[in-house]
Amino acid sequence: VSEACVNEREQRRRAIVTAVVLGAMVLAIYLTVVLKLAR
Amino acid sequence: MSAAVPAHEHHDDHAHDHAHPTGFTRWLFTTNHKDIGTLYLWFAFTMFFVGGIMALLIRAELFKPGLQILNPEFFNSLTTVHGLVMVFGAIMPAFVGFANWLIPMQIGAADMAFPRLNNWSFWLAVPAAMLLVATFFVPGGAAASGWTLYPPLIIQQGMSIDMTIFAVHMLGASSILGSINIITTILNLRAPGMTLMKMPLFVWTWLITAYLLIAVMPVLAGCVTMLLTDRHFGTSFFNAAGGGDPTMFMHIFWFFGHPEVYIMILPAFGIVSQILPAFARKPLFGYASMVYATASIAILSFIVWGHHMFTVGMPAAGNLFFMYATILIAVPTGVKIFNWIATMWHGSMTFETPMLFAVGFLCLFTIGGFSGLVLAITPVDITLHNTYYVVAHFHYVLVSGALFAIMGGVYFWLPKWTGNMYNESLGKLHFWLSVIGFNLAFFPQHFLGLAGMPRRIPDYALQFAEWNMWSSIGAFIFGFSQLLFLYVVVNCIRSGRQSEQRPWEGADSLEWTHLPTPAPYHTFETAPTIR
Repeated sequence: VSEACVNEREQRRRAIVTAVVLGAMVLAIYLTVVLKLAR
Repeated sequence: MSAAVPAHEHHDDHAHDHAHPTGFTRWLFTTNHKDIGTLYLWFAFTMFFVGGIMALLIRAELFKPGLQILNPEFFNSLTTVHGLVMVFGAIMPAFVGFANWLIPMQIGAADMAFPRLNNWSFWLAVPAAMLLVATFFVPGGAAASGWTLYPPLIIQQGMSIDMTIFAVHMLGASSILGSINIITTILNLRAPGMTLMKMPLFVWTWLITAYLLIAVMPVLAGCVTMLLTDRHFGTSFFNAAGGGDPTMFMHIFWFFGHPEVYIMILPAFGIVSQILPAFARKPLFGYASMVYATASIAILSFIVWGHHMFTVGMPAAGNLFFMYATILIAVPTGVKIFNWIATMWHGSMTFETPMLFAVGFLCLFTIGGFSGLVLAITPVDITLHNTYYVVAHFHYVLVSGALFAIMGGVYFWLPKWTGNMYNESLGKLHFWLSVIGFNLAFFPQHFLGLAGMPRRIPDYALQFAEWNMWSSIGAFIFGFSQLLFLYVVVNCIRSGRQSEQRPWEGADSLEWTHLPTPAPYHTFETAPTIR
């Protein structure tokens, strides 16, 4: 496996991790508003 | 900021196969960031005209006192949907269009991190906007509560509110997905050597804007979800009769709403920060301080929402806190204004159309900023709240601020996007007509507000007649001059003379220094190395 390919895979893994973390933030904020503030 | 390096042999890498699908399927299924950027920009342009027609109907009604052409209910719907369309359908998608076109090229990436998600983000926005506009055609008419959708009025209206809520949900989802894509792209796909502090300021402003969107769009979504459950599922979040609190809606809405203002202006700061150095032929003054000022504005935007509701009866301590916090925003904003002026200072300036719009932005946005400071002072705001002074203030921020930056950006990057030059004379004519029409439309509204004319009314006292007439004349000049903008853009695409590789000699970001003009369909398949 070439170095470029490894780098691309690593880049892709990091991108997915970033997106998942950001998505979790969005969900957490939405649920906080609906469930906590509106209680 | 990245150092200007000459275009090199890398161009040849792009000369190979740039075949792409054609026709309808190209646009429906595209995952190319440039195609999606183009789609966003045309979509925003279309919605700008849709919202503009509503604005002209409003101004036609207000041309003279008395009810002229619209019934009051429809007038209220027009003010509401005009606001929603311009915010969610025109300004925000236009900036996302710029982001799609420019961010990958400016950081040396091949595309956005998630191209399919990118396609989905765009195609979510289109039916949402159509749903929003379609509310005019359902029984009961479109939402008439103002763009803030305040209960209890909003809870009492017909099915158009459900459509509006669904549209806002979809537009919010579209923005969130777009923001995740932008943050991921910037953090992970930068070319080797493109450190964060070498990124063009447009990329920086969008990185910060995307974080703002991630933080506040779910708040809006939660807020309108609660409206929906109040309407249909027996809850009483905002219904006082059921133990709820309409004021809570205002707090939650404006916790979203104020950062939203910065979502609409930070990318404009980024565009102006690209244009001014290019035409002053000097590097941007105080690059690092511009980055920190942008971040400071974004952080402060979370603690000032109360200034929208000084009149609801918050404790004096609350009013004071929000007043001081709001005034504090003038500090980082002032840093930016002075940095832009310092960038132009002793520069070899020329005033092509993008520069005219950037300088117009600088002068007129500053007026909007100053009237914002006036409104930040609690006792003054209590007097001016809900008057035309507020309308004048936010149009100076959003039209001569955000929209002028968008127009300047379009002229600046049209050669890169199309490979053709626009007609400079017509561009300048468009600028001057816009400036004259805009100021004639909105400057008198300061006087109307100071004299006590309330917003969102189709009729008014005779004492306001003259300035309203001038305001309507200005609005029509501004509105119709945008047809000239459309003509200039279409003419540039279809029959403009071929652009030079780098038409603006002072432009030094990667899309100008490392890529041919027009930008090929696929760029940076091999990442450039930044020195």
